[in-house]
Amino acid sequence: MTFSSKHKRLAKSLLHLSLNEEGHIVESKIEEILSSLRSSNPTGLKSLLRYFYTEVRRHEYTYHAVAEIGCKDDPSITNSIVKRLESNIGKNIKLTVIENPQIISGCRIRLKDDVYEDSLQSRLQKLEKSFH
Amino acid sequence: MSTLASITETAQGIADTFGVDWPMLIAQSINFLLVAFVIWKFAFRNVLSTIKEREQQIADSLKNADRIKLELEETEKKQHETLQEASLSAKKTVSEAQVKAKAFIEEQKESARKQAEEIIAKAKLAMDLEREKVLAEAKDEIASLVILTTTKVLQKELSEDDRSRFSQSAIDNLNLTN
Repeated sequence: MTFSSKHKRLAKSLLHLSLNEEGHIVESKIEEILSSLRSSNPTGLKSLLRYFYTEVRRHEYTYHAVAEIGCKDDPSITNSIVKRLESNIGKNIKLTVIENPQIISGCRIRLKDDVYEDSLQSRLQKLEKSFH
Repeated sequence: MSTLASITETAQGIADTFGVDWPMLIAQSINFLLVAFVIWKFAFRNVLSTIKEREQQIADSLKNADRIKLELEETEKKQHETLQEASLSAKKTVSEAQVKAKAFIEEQKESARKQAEEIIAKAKLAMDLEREKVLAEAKDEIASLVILTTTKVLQKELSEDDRSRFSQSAIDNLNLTN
């Protein structure tokens, strides 16, 4: 077994350790993991950290959604978004809500490579394109 | 015999009247004849031959002149015919050239007319295209302005409740399948 495959597996394990019950990454746990790695200083630490970083990014990318809404953030709206997304992918997701007055009203949700949007801005843009 | 004697007497009387000296007369006659003979032999004959030659020359010249006159008439006739032919040929060439020139002018006119028509057609087409382009640009411009105005109005006029309601409705109806 080569170092790289070992480090990959270890990185995945470290990622699991940094998740909470809901499957979200917790920053404090990440910090703990990093400080323990620093103190133990295992062989191939740099490679391990690189794989760990990749795993964390991939997890964030996969299970962290960013939603832009055109109104003030409301818990009911946030919950609705989370429910819809979790029912779609079957896993817990972490949601970041951003108020974006540019979209006027509605929402734009980005998860991984997918963007789901239903906003007044997008409707107006579609309307403008239809004139061309 | 008497008549003869009378005639002789008359002649003698006339000779006496006019002072005729017979020996002198005879001598003069002989002299005259001698001189005449000498002149005829050494001068007159040459002169006559010269005159004859001259006469012959003149006759020949006259003959040549007639011949030349005939030839001249012939040449003049030929020249006249040649001039007539040349004149006919020139007239024919001129008329042919006029016909060709006319045809060329007509051809050029037709070509110019066609070119003008083509230019007009192209100009019309260009104008139509330009008009369509301007209309399309105006349409795009108006559409952009309308959308921009609508966006501004909505941003200004929509209440927070309306925004929240719309956002909630959008989330509920969002299509999450790809």
